[in-house]
Amino acid sequence: MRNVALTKENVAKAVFIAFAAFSILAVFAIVFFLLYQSIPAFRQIGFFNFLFGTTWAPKNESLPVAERFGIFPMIVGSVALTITSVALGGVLAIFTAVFVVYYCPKKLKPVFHQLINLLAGIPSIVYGYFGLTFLMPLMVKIFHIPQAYGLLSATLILSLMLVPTVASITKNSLESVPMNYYEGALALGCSKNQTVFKVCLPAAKNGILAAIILGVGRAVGETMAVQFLVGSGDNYPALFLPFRTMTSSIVLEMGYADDALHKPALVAIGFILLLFILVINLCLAAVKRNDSISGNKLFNRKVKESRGAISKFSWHKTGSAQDILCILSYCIAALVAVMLLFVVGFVLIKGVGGLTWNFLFGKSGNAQVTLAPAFVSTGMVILLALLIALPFGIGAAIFLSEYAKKGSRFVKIINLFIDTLSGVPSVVFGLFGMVFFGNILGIGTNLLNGSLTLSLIVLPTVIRSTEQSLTEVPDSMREASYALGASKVRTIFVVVLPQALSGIITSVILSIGRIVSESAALIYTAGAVAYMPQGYFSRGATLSVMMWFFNSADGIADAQAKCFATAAILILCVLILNILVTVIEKTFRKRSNR
Amino acid sequence: MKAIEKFEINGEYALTVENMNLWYGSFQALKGICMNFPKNNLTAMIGPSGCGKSTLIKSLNRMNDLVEGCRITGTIKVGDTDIYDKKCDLPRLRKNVGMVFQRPNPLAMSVYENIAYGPKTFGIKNRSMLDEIVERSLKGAAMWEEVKDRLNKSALGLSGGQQQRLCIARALSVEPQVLLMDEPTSALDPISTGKIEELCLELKKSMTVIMVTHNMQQAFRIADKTAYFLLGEMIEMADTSVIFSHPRDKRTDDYINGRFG
Amino acid sequence: MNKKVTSLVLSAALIAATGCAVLGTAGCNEAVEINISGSSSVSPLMQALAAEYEKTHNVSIVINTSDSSTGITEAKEGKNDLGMASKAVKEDDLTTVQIATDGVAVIVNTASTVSDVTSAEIYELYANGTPVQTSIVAAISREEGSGTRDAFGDLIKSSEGKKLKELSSLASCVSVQNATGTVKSVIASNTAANTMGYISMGSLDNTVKALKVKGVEATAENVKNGSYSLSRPFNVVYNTQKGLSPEVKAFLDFILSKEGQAVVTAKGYVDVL
Repeated sequence: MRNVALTKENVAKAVFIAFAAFSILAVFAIVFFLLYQSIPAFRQIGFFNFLFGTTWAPKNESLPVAERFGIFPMIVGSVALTITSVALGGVLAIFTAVFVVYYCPKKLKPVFHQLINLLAGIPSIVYGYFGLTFLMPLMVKIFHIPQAYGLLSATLILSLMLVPTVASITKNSLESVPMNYYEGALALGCSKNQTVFKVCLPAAKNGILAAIILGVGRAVGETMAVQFLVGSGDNYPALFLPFRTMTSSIVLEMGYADDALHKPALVAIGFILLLFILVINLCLAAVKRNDSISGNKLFNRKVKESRGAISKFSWHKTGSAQDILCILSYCIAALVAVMLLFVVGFVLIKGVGGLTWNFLFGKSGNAQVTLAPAFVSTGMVILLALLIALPFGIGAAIFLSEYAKKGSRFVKIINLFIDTLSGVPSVVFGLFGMVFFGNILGIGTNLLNGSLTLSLIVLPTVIRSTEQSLTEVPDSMREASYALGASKVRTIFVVVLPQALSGIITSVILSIGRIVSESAALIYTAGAVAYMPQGYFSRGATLSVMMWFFNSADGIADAQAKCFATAAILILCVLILNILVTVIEKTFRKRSNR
Repeated sequence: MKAIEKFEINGEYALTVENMNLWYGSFQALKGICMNFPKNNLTAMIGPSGCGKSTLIKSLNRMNDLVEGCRITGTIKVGDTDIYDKKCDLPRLRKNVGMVFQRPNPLAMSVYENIAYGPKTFGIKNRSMLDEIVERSLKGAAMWEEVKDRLNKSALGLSGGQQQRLCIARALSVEPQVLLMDEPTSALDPISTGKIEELCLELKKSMTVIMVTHNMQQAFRIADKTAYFLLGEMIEMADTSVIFSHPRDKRTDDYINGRFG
Repeated sequence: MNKKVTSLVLSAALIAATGCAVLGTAGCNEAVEINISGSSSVSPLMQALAAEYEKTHNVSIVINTSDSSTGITEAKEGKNDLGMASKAVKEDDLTTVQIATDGVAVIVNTASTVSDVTSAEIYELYANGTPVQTSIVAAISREEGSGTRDAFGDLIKSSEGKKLKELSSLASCVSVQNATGTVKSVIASNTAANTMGYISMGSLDNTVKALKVKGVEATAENVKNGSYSLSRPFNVVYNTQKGLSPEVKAFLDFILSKEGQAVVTAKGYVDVL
């Protein structure tokens, strides 16, 4: 063993490694504690009865225990909904991204950019409520069906929700395709459309894959919107039949689940959900590893030597398929823009009327419920969650981009765990927060618990977005700094990190967006009450949770108007955050160009 | 804090390389290099792409440490100090053996901050001292007049030639004894190239300049000594006039007379 | 220049922090706090009672809504002052006080032509998807564990007397929602008028239409005289050993007083006077 001196450099490195390894710890903790809490359920119900049973009737005492808790229909429901909505949403998103990057008129580009960012930030509960109050009544009218719960409604809304997320990441990776690929293909005589769809799009495939992974994660984990729209009936998924997903069942029943077996069974659903995510991530990691080097191992064809025979080639024009794709991307982008604008417009128009001074800032209590406590709770959660997540996230990102040996096993493992963490559904985080922070650490249900849980949720966002902007800092700048004799720590903090500042701020804003829109992870960790929080140890509902509260609580006057008003506030928040991002990015760009 | 000292260069040579081999993984990029770089001279290294000249110049201030799987045997000395010795202080080495890269790489800071970065690294915080260093370095790189009114603007807004001279100024800011230049003009137009060549001639009065260049005319114009590299070996090193008129080795002759490369 | 931005962001965060802290403490006053937790069915009534009581008394009543069993468990563990339960409670170490009776109203859209149903018809719809009087072909249920579902499943029986809650699964036309508000808003927006649901009588309003069950209207009177069969008790429980503090005792006395029960009736529930 070499003696490692306890220098500033080594200490810094150790700290960064620890931050990076934190993700591993977090994932293990989630898996372990969820398993720990589900063991009573598995033991009493039987693992296979639980997984493959087809009846879910926890309170039905006329059935034996082993037959009451079967989640097979929920698994089918989750899988089916994920596949349909990722397929639809993915197609919409990729074409939209292609349009924005390659076909969008210059003047329209910032508009689309803003639109996508704005819509990425809209809370899922708002989408769900839009589906509930606009889409489903519309479907009932169009299809003459008794009710519109089912795969179709859920898919439509969920795929719309996936578009901004998938599109913005696809867009980023398309934009990072080197210009000389594009020029090279054009120089061979390819048409623009051929170049875009056959050269640029494949060149960005890793980024697109990553976007789809995120889409899958979001679809599997989506809880609130899905719960509004699937209807949670005892059916297998079909276009117009109410069915269950794993997430919707957890959030649907957790409020009342308390007996010895019901709650453990719901946690066990969360555990199974987690296993799904782990498997998906492992598969994707394998896929990623395979395609990193060009060439396809599955369809490897040997090239025969021609032995000098010279054939005559006939050259002709191709590319009509790509022309169609081009037209398609115009149409889809327009469609997405219209739909997304409609959602925003619908909610704002319905909600603005309810925004009275008293509703926003009046005293909230037993006599009336206002949003004042929600503003405070939201601010408190954002503050604490970011204070925890930022150092960990930035530290981990620094390790990954500045210290890690690319491709080493440790880095691969860390990346796998960060991907896993970002794929963990927020409802599972909620379960973990409830079980671990709430019960095992004894924090209970309060804003502290909610903030801790959310800091875990936003951690991958902070890591990835910081890491991204760190890797975008050209190596030549690091070389310049090293060549002057600067130390690694100095290079990182003085040369590299300031350039990544806009990325870090973006990650902060993305995180704020995530926190503001989060509800599933908060309801059972921070609580849903209408009282002003007295500190981090009291319960408190953030804006999104308040929306859920208005919709679900009994005896609230004008609940629908209040829901829309809260939704309008949420959208305004997202709007403000986005303007902030744009202003900050512009400022940075101006500074660096001057 | 401990002061960073200059290297003692007493003999004729500022830098000596003795029997040096370098591998990237299993690929041997440099084979048995032995050469001496005379003090206050401008030495040019020429050769076709992939011959190892850039690799060598990067080894001279250990920038190759950043490359994974890079392994070096043999000794490289600045004055009498072995720079690959465990006791050798890396910041000290790089402060005294500065480097200018192929592509201009200004930091994403203002012109002023770019120059002040190096001195700040070595503990100079006093504003008036920094001002003085910035002015002296920029004057040293013959660009003070051009940028004195835009010191607080971003360095990324300068033209390519200006950026490269800024990088030279930045290297000068820490008062190096040796300046390594890795094809400093390959990304620049002829006018900027001319300015930098003039600058090099000025610089070698006060320091040792070692330059990798692709451009034989450049070597011919400004170098005191020229070394020819091929396939990881140093074929020949001599006074520039000798190399270009009476090369000893046939391979050098082929290259210089354009029969190859 | 980057430092400026950093410090800007930092100071913004600090301002936000202090803002939160100030607002957080501003809510503080010296009032005695009463903690009540439990059934979400009872909580709207409890909220109304608390609001009325807070007008005249310097107490702060905090109601944490979850479910009956949580209310009961927390009462046992002494974590709350009062637990709320929307079902009969039989626990040795708890004292139970009934504060109201609630009816479960069967509701449809106001546009529906159906006005009177039987228990067996409801059973057939929820169990087998058999349309009620040809026009109602879909239904909404509450989730497993809900007190309202429990009461509904217990009270709705087939013509052979089989209870709805004994079924292992509901008909394919039944969707499940976990909140009275959602059930109500879905039925209210269902202009096709073909969906049935059930909610607490206290949550009834004119956005939906309550059906007669076997000719009996869902009113407080009919619940009280026993002719409307779908009803359940609203209880509060407390730890017998821990007893009641004077403040809690005063509040409970208020609930059971004429004024308190007037609130109960005003909210559409059935008083226990």
